[in-house]
Amino acid sequence: MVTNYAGTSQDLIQWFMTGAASDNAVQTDPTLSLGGFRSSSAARSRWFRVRQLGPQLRLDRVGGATPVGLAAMSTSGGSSAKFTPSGATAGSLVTLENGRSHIISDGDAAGYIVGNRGSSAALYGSPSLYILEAVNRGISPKSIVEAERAAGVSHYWALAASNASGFDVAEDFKAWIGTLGTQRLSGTTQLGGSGSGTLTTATSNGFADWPLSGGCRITLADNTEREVVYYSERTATALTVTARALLGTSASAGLTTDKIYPVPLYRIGLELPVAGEIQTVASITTAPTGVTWYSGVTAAAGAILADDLLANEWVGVWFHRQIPAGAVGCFGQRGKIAYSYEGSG
Amino acid sequence: MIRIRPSGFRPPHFRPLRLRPGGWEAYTLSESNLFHVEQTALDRYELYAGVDAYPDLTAAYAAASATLPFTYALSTPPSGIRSHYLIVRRRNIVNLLSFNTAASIIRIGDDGEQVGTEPQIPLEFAIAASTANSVLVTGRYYFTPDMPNRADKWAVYSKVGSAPVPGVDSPTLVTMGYLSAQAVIRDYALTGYTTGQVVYVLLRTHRSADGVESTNTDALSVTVGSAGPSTLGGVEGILGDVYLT
Repeated sequence: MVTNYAGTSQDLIQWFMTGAASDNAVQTDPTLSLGGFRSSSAARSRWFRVRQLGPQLRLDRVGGATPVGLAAMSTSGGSSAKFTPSGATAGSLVTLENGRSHIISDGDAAGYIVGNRGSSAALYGSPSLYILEAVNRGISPKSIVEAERAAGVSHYWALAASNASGFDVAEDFKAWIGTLGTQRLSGTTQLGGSGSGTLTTATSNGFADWPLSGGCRITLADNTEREVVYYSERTATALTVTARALLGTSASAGLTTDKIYPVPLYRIGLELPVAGEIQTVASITTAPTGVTWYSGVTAAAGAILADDLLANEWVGVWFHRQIPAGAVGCFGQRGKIAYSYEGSG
Repeated sequence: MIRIRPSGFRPPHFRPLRLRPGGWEAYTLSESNLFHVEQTALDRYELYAGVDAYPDLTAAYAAASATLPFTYALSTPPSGIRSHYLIVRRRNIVNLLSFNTAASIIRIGDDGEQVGTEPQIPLEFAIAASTANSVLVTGRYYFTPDMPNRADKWAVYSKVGSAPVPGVDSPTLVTMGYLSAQAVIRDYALTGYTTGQVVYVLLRTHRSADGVESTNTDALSVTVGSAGPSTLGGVEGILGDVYLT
């Protein structure tokens, strides 16, 4: 399946739903992305709303790490455009050829937009657009309803990380859990061997960029995983932990040298398709079999694909999300994964 | 870490030669989505209450209820009047809270009964000495913020030699005439003074229903003038000869 590939390796790996009847068939429901065949429906991280679109330029999609907010584009010389997301460095001018899609990156190599020039007429104007973070479009399949929150729930689903080109190769694909704030040490107060408790950092305002509630991954000083926990609220320096030993980990007493990370309550695993499909689970609460799970927050501690993804090949990425019983209501919890690969540029 | 290997037959694959100058590019990217967690108990109205001050909206609420109306007891002061500042906010099922900050103010007296909120103070208050040792009083009252319990009279306090004290000195109550959004008292004459007296005047708005007045206390003063004739009004003729010297 080759779709909307913009011709540079920054756009090489694209994410799609699964659960289709055959390869590249239509399956648009994230809650039915339960394995099987790759779907033609993309899993999206970003939407955009165009405030002002210059003529002759169609904007197709925005890269997953692009900062949200008001982004600006500008054109130059009738054939070039550049992209500046909110708070990011302006990208370089990209010459847009008629009838082709192009990656237009920001200056930080984090965000990009794919634009397609529809005619040879000169580009002009300064299009601006709002970049929005997607809600429940694959990296999360659905929100948590009251019954699931009260009792606790585990959700399982699969996406296809697909080489979207017709000729290029994606080497050394790795995927791991994305962090949601700055790593700290639990230097002041640690958890006991069991039960709820408090994690406190000695860093002033150390948790200021952490979500108000959510997951926390605790590792030893050598990065060995100790435990994944859930905190229901926080201050600038303290987390109130109300659920222990999540995502297959075990409770253990902490040390002052432990590292703590804000993480989504996710873990992931890989499965290569056989005859074009991976296993299918019966429902979103059914776990896949034979999948090795990873909750690491670095490439080295993540899931690593041993072989390359050739053109049009894909690997199934299974997600396990665990919400503990009694989690607090929340708007805008974030599920996040990071991934890396090498391409020919 | 475990490297995932393909299963089944796969044609031999040889990595293409990296002929591009500078080698291949490494990319580290991320994907994220938002989702919500619903909690039914959060779907409620929250009351934030302050005594004689606006409530701290960062503190815990004073009372909450899933439905309206609900009841909250206001405390009675041991003496005087206590003002309760009340803000009701709405929290939804995914823990979003409304941003409103405007308070309703309810005043309770030491008898436990509600006391009306003071009406707005008059604006553009001015006095001027006029003929026949009179003092003219002017002011303007914008009553819209006080609706439906607006003031209906002007309370004109006057005193010779020192500022009048509300609650000690008694005002003259003058019925207001309303315009679309304001009432105006213009050149209301205070009389009965002698030349050279310093007259102090305080103008307040007054609500007859409960006797509550505006809170302003700054009086103006003026020295009354000579006992001259009244000013001309309309068209009047001067009879007789006029000599220029």
